[in-house]
Amino acid sequence: MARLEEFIEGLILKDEESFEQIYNETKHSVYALIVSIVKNKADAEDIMQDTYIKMIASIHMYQPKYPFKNWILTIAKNLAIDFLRKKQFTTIIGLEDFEYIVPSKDISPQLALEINEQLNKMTDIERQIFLLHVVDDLKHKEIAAILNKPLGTILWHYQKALKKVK
Amino acid sequence: MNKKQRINEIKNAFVQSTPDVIERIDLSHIQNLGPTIDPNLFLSTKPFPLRISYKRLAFLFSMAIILVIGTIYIGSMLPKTEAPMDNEFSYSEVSSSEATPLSHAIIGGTVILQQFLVELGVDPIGFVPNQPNLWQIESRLDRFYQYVPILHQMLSPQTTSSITLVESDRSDYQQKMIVPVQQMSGTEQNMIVYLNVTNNQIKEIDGLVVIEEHMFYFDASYLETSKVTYRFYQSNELQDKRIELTQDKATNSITYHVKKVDGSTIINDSIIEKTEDQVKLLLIKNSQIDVSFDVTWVDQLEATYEISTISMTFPNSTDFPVVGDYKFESSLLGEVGTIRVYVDLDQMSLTDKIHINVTRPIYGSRTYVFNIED
Repeated sequence: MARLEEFIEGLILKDEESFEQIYNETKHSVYALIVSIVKNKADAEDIMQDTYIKMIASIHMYQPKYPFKNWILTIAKNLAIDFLRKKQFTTIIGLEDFEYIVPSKDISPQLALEINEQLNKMTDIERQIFLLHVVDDLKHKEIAAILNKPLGTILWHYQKALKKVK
Repeated sequence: MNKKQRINEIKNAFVQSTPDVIERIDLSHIQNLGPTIDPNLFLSTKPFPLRISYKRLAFLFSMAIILVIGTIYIGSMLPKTEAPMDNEFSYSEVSSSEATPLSHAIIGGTVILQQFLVELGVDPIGFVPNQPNLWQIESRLDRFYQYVPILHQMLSPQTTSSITLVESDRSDYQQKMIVPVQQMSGTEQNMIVYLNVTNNQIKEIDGLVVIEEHMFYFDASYLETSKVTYRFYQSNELQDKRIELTQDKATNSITYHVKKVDGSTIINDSIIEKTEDQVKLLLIKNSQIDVSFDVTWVDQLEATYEISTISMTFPNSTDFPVVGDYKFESSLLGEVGTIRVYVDLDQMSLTDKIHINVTRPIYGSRTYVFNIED
């Protein structure tokens, strides 16, 4: 896998291919993190788009000393939290179960139901850590940096999340 | 289906359901944000003006007032202008002037405040966790978290078949066990445990854990109805470290005892008790106090609260008590936390209050109480 940082110069020059590379390397973790926060596929899709737009608009301010993936995931996390905050004032968020996975031609309704059930058993933080680790193989240290939490906390929550996977 | 297969299924499901938004993004229409904007702005998506909060300004303003009043007061009280600030924690050089002890105390309070901010890793503009302390405690607790469940499993009546008993190759231990350990990354490695069962009835053991290059001595006792105690020791030529965890089922509390010894000198000795709704520092001793820990629990609404790190270091302080509390409150702008610490210095009855506002993306409110007693 090419290092994402190699494509940043291209992205600053608005090179489509560089953007495509960055997008393909990051889209799964960006989506997983957002949907684990907003708990809704449609909202997650919009925030995902906003994340990439914001990333491109501020790419010239990216500091290469930090991992690029952490940076974009931090943008995604903040946009998702910001969205939730705004939503809290306009919507009563219930305690009902949320749908993280919807059935499709590749995902049977039964499988989607089982996955959603298990993810709903996790707390927000457990779900975020679990999905970042599982979907994109992010290391726990990286997750700690992205979520701005101590490594010990991340490991602890990951353990708890694992116990809820059946 | 085993857990690994289920995790793979979840991964595949997420990979397959990731929407493609690339078609909706037109690079040529995206304007760069101005170069004058601080990149740290993107750590928070709040509009910039909100980041200059009145609370922060009020905090800075109150700090300035404290310093000015302190300076004026000292100037009026002291017979000489010589400021005893060489050592902010030393009160041994008591002057003959009656006013002096009070002046010392006020200087001490202001300096302690500044010192406390530095030690907490707090700059006046924002809250920055004290990274070195954080990593120190984390490295201890990371290992600790790995071992405790394994030992618990070994001591519990339902011992799993994955533990292999082999002949001990050390004369000082009767038993040798090979315990497969699944690392957080998913990779497996073997942990070797040497054991002596000292009391089979109440399951008392002592032993040695070897994992990679790390060696931990430990002893443990397990009483199903009352207390479970684990003690871990790590020794090398420079220092002894000891971490002890006691889970008291009767009071539903967990006590952590961290002790670091250099030769015969105790460098750090602290006891932290955690119950369902509060955390207490029961004991902190000796010249260097260095405690940091994190606490997390889940409330009825499944929101997670957390104190990421509170760390206190008071060099050269030996025997003054510190009592404080830490409180979170919700507000429309997010969560605001306050740390208040009262410092009593010897017989001077000085009470100092330190207010630190912490804005963090956490929901709800909770009160922590810290008692640090000699």
